[in-house]
Amino acid sequence: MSGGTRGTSRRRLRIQIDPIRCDGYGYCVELLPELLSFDDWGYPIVNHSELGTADEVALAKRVEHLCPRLAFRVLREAKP
Amino acid sequence: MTILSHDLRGVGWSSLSRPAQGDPTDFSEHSRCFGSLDLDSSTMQPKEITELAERWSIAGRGGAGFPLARKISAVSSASRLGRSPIVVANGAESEPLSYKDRVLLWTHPHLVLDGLELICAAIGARESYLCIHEDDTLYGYLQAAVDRRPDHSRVPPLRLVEIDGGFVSGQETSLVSFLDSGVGQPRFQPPRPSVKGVRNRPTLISNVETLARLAQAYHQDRSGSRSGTLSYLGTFWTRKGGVVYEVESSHSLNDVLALSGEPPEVELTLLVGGYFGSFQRISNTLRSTPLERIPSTSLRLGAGVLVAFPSDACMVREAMRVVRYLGSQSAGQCGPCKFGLPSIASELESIVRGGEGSIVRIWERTRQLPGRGACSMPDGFSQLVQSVLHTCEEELDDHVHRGCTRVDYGIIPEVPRVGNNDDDAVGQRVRRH
Repeated sequence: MSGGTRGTSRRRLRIQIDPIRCDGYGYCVELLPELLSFDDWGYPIVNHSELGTADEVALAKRVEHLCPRLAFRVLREAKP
Repeated sequence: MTILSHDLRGVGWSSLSRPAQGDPTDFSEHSRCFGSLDLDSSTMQPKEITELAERWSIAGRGGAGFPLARKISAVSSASRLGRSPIVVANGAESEPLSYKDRVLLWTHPHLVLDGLELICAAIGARESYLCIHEDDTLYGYLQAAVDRRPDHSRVPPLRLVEIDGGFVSGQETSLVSFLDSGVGQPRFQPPRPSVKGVRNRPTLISNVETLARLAQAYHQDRSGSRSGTLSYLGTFWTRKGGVVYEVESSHSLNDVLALSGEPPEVELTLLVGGYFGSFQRISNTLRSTPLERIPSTSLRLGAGVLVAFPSDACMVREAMRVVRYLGSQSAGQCGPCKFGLPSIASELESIVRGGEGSIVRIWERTRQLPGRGACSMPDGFSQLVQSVLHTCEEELDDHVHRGCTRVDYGIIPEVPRVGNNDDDAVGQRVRRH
């Protein structure tokens, strides 16, 4: 039951959006269209939260700085 | 099969929201029935209480069914860092059709308080709260019960708190925010309340029935039976009204349905689990299966609300009242919930009224909601609305194309929309003693 992550200890990064902070400015969706999309009300839906390529990581970190509401965060994956 | 509290103490009940016969606030009567807590002779350890909770399979009775033992472990390990934990008993029943927690507080206040004390002793909490919705009569009644408990100084200070607000106000993080600031709004997680709750301290929040069950297990354990299953409470509605029932897991839905005194319908539609549950057509097989053998994927009773509808009832209009109420209850913090819920509710309402609402659009929009809020409001709403589309497909079609000839029994009430989306949501008050 306890996290047997040995062997796959590559540090995974993932996206988290705080839905209370988010006001739908949309920078994240514009810059990461492969991972996010807009819902019917203009808020971001996270379709894939894991960041794969170095490009994605770089863009996500940029979005983290751009988000005017500080809602978008890049986190190190805590659990598999 | 027992109705109303029989298994808890053997008192008879005839209607909701009134105290049982005798005086349930009388502590000596309570301890004569159940026994008393022995917290002095042995210092209780978290492990003892988690083992007790595990042995008796005690899971949360607020709706989510989370195992109590895991909650206790989480809080006690978070408080090992030196921050003294807090325990909150959640009696703020926010589901409009649920009465079981209030009935329990009226009939067995000391059983709830026993459970609260047990957990406080086990995890070393020096502060605890019992939260209820604004109700001056119940507040005074509970205060009397608290005052009649012995060794008052030994018990961690208990504060009775009345909270105000709508559907999401009884949610765990809402209680934390209410106790911190006087405004009960859900909060984004993590951190979970078990790690950072009231005043950033590890906080164990538990439904009042869960606490009463823990106390029940403790008392039965000490009188010799080492394990078993405990029954649970729920609220059952038919067109005749509502009743709080108590069932054991060996009972079936048919046992509950028999409470209505009517022969069960051949093709039965139920609202299972209340406003956060789903509308379901229940097969004969499922109805006669003992509850313990029904997989949770087929039936999720949640906090035990069951509503039975006659076969000629207009389910669409009944369901619409549930959806409309929920649509008005977003706390307005998260965009998808704030805008999504009312938009879907009015879409459905338009269909019911024979207008231009689109079932396809409702499907599309409900699919966008799960996981999109700080609390589970969008998830619960989405699941409920999808169950309406599944269960009432034919009737919806009638509403769109032909007009509906079924009867609106009004079993689901038109709930006054108090609370969260209104301007007065901030005017919530706290009363502490």
